[in-house]
Amino acid sequence: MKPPIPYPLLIAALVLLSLALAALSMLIGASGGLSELLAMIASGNADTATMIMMEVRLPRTVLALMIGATLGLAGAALQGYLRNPLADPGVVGVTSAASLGAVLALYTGISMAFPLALPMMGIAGALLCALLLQGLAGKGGVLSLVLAGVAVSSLCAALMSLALNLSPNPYAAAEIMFWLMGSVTDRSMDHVAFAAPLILIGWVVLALSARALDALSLGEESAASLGVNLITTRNLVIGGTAISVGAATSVSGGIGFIGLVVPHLLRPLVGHSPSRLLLASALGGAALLLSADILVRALPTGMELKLGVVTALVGAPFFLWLIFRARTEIE
Amino acid sequence: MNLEACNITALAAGKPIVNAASLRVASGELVGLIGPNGAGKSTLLKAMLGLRAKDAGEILLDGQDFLAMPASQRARAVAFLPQDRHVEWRLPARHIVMLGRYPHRARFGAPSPDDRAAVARALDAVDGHSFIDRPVTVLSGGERTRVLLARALAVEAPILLADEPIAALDPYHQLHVMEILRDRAHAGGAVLVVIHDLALASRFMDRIVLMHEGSIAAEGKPADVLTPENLARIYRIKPAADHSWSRI
Amino acid sequence: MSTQRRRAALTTGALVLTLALCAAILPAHAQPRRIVSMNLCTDELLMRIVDPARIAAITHLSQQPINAPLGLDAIASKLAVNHGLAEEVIALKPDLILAGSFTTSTATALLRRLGYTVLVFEPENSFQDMRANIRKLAAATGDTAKAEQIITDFDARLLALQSRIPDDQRPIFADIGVNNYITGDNTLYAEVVNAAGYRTLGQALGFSGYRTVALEQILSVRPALMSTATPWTRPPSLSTMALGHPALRAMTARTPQVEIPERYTTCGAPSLLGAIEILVEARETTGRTR
Repeated sequence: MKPPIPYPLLIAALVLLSLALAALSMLIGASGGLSELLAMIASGNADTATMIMMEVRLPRTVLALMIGATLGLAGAALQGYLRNPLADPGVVGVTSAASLGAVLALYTGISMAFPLALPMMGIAGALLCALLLQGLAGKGGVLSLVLAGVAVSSLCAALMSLALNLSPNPYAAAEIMFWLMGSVTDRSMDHVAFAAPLILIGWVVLALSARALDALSLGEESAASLGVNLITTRNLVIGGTAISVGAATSVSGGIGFIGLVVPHLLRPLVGHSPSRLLLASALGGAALLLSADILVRALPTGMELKLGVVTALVGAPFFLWLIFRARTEIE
Repeated sequence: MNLEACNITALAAGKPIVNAASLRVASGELVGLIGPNGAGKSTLLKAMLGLRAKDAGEILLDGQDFLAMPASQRARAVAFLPQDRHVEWRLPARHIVMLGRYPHRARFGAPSPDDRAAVARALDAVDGHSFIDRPVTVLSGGERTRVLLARALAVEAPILLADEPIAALDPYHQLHVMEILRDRAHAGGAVLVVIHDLALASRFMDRIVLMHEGSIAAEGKPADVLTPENLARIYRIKPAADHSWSRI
Repeated sequence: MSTQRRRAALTTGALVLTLALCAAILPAHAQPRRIVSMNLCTDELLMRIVDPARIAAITHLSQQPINAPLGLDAIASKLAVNHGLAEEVIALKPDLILAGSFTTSTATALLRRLGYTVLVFEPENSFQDMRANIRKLAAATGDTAKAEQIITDFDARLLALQSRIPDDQRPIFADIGVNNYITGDNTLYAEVVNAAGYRTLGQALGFSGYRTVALEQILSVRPALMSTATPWTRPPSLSTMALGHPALRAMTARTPQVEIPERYTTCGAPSLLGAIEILVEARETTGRTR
């Protein structure tokens, strides 16, 4: 039973898809499409058009691609490590911790000090979470890790609710809520410069775990007997997730379902191999999140829909359909 | 080559599961580790592999401290077929067998010709070419065991440890797997098998080690170990008329 | 006159004329002529202070009937709008941008990074804040005289309204927002209510700021005037259900009611006078302490 598409061809197709979506993303926005941009250039406003393309649409496109890739990659790595197709980056508490850091920045007003204050608090939250996970999970296996992640998630969610509850005025509460819904609107190249190095480091760390994830398909004992260091693998997966997803969440807020749905979709296409799924999910996640962001801009609502809302609205029914289809296959 | 456990003690919640047990397996022999449920067989095996912590004793590979060696070196020396035969993803059987080459392969990169040759040899040994491209999750119990055994053989380690490889198999496949293991031993490998089936143990093993309540109760040729006295005392069974057993 | 003196006179005259022209023209050039407002409250201040021809865009919110500033419908309906997105604002080629300190902070950061002048306004918490924001806006747009006029008008109208208050009592005005949200001391809303001769429910209960309050606490007070009307009743939400509680309805039934468009008190701007006027009218007709 060979996968329907050869792996190199699949990767090439996903790369092309992402590039095509990137081109499309550069031509969609509040100030109009290709014809409006050309009209701007023709009427002597080329510098305005350039500014819009390079400083508003480009960072947005790059961030959507990078964040989508991060979520897809981390989701695939966690599903491979935890040997559970229902895992996603949220399971280990990193997204909640990063969100809590950002919420605290908004709540205390630190976010007003300088624009990158908020993402920095977010990444601090994610890294603290990773340390906490190491401490709680100790030398235990997968189960203790998941339980630790649930504990951290619950704690962060409770603290965020507390912040909302105690917020000094309705504007602050609304701002926290909107941030939590997730968005890449009006992010600048500063945000890209902040997040990109951390995201890239996280990607490298996650990629280092690829081989071990394959061996883990046989279970922890077989994998250990083949020379896999279970503790090192766990640290690579958690560390890589914390750094990359933490940086991504710090810049964009909470975006869900990408890390859960994309590996699910692509797994049959890579022959179910956990290591091959990493790259495929990264590209698939990039394409999917960018599509969602294009949708956000293209829909004719007065105010932009939040990105996290769109991914949830599309992701949840889609996920239900996937499960339904899997059930009918089993029966 | 030989792997030796010297006076291993392993505790769980303060109680000794394995109590000063010593065991040795060398090239060319098929050794059976038998004993009643709870005797400590699996625990001893896992302690020998370093998969489980031990509280006293040493594990020696040709006289060297085995557990002090780097993981990749240990993986190339000793292959393990665990009792758990669950495979998480719908991977093709071919991919599973190739995982046995993990200790030999570089971090990134395609399998080498040596890797492919080793996989082919392992498949020959288990007669697995007919179902090699099917997903492992749809294979029958016997086919799946042979695939996982091929995976262990593909490591081409001098020493092979197997934990209850024939559990839940029909008689045909039980015999087939035992023959594969015996062939491996006779080809120069050192094979240690935890097993419950006393008839098959007596028929195939060169040497049997009988464990009871964490200690080695008897060791030697099958006929010398599987005496009525030992069976009565340790297993609490006696031979019955139709070549099987009845409980005492 | 000798040639030298004539020349000197001409030179001096030319110099004086040039300086005079400069004095007349230069401030006009320094005045922003394409101002964009990204905030509902700066929308109103901008429309009152500046000639509409110099406004490049206001927020789309100001064109919604429910958010219309007092008396500015004619102006608001003719202006271009934006939705708080940096891209829209850039396309308008503004020379001055006004923004609130909440919810558009990413757009503000991006626009500043790109070199635009963005003036950020904190939400007004008092009449004094309002006067300060009016002056701050006018200083940036070069309309300081107009700003002082608006402030003077406001203060005059305020005094006129306050002269109608019949006595020194401070009866309680219970404005119960959705989810039993109550406003206390040190808020713009409290100052509005106080200016009309009432105390807010929050001030009667003794707290500052915004809080949700248990129904029991609301019922423990006997207000002279109430408002539970809210424009946000369609589509229904859980928050408006709280307002339908039988005990609250009983209190509503026996207390005089008044309806104040929320927009009048959302911003620290002259629209506040609309709210104060409604309250003063109620104060004249019903306001006896209980």
